[in-house]
Formats: sequence, C-alpha cells, structure tokens
Amino acid sequence: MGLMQKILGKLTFPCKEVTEIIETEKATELSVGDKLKFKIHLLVCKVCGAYKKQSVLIGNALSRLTNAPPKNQKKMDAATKQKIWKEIEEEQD
Amino acid sequence: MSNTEKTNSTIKSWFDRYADDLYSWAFYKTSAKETAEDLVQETFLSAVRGIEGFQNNCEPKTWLFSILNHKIIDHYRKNNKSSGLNGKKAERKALEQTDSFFDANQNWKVPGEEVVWEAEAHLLDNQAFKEILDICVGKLPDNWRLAVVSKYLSEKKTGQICRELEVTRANYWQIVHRAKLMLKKCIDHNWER
Repeated sequence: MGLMQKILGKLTFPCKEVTEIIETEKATELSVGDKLKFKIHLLVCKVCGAYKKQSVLIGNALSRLTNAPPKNQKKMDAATKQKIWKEIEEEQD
Repeated sequence: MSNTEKTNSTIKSWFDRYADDLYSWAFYKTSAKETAEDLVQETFLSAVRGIEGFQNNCEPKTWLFSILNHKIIDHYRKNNKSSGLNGKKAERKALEQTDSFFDANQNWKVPGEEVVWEAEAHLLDNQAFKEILDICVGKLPDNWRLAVVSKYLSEKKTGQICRELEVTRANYWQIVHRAKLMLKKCIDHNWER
C-alpha cells in the first residue's frame, strides 16, 4: 500500500495537494493534464476519494450550522426601534 | 412622489417589515443587545447609502441580511483577540497537527481501516452528526473558526441575483482547507460505526 501510494503520488499528485485541489476545484481552471491526474488519483486512492465526499458533506453541514435560525425570536423595544429609525431618517436627508 | 420620497418610503417599509428579524439574527449571532442594535442600524444606513445599486429582481430581505452578515463578520474580526501569543500558538499547533496527517511524501498516513461515515444516509439531518460537528468546530483555533464562519455565513445559493454592496470577501481558502482536514479527523475519531 505504501509503495503504491508513493508511486501514485509521483505520477499524479501527492494526497495533500489533492485535498487542496478538492477545496479549490470550482474556483480554478485545471489544465487538461492536471484534471486527468486529479481524476485518476481519486479513482485509485480510496482515502482521497472518501475525503472528496467528506469535504462536500462537511461544507454543507457547516453551511447549515452557520445559518441555522435561532429557536427564539428576540425583539427590540419600541423606544429603541424609534431611536434607530431616527438615525436612519437623518441619513436619508 | 419624487424619487427621494419613493426611496425613503421603501426604506421605511423595509424597516417596519424586517428590523425585528434582523435584530433577532444579530442578537443570536453576537449575544449582545447593544451590539445587535448597532448592527441593525448600520445595516439600514448601508442600505440607504447603497440603495442605488439595489436590483429589482433581488429580494429586499435577502439583500438586507447579506449586509447584516458582512457586518457580523466584521464584528467578529474586530473582537478576535487571537492575534495575541496564545492565539498564534494555537494556530501553529493546529498547522502542525494537519501536517502530521500526511507522511514524508505528502500522502495520507492511513491507520488501517478508514472510518466510513460519508456513506451514511441523511447525515445532514442526523442529530449525533450535528453535535459532533459542533464540538469539532469548537476545537478549531479561533482564527480558523472565524474563517469558516466567514465563508459559510449566508453563502449565496444559486437562484438569488442580489448584487452585493462593494464588499470584498476575503478569501481564506487555505485556512478553510486546513480547518476541514481537522474536522474530518475529528469526525473520524468521534463517529461510532
């Protein structure tokens, strides 16, 4: 396994770099050669193949976590709201 | 109505409709009443200043929330004290940790059987998974957590065409990349098969 990994790393990319490409894939244009190396690596290397799926899952889960709505609604009191509106009104003049 | 009067009444109607929702979100994200109030005020001030750029095919609520989220992130950044010694130490340690996931050839160090959690169905709705992720995010160095929040807070989904105000979202992809590696390992360690 170790030797295969080493050879694969040399022929395509080392795994660490593959994880970086997984991260920037959508934003960067890979050359045709690099795209092929990337695909081959993912097919052969089980850990990177799994990581690609995990990265997507983690991303989606983080998005949900960060944007999850609060359980309780908090409201401003009327006086504060009025005060804030006054400031906004002044900006409009 | 003159154009100015039209704009003023638009902002007023948005304020009446959305100020409480925006406040609720800001308070939830900052846990501070006055901060949340300031953020709501700042949001509408920015909206007034940037109203010319508001597109008609954009949802006002979406637009206002995206302004607010930028301000929330700015607030986090200002309050982020991790540029101090302890913060730098934590980051360095985390960098070393993620480096250690790979061998001398920069390939994965595989301990044998890899934990397969990504094949689990409905993981995003799985309460145990959500809890583990929450804990793992909490273990990230402050700067890394900030980068993650910056990236994912109201990340735009396809469909909404809302032109953002002139804000450059800093690209922390290297930190986010490292954070995700850390999270993967943390989930690996905590996920029960």
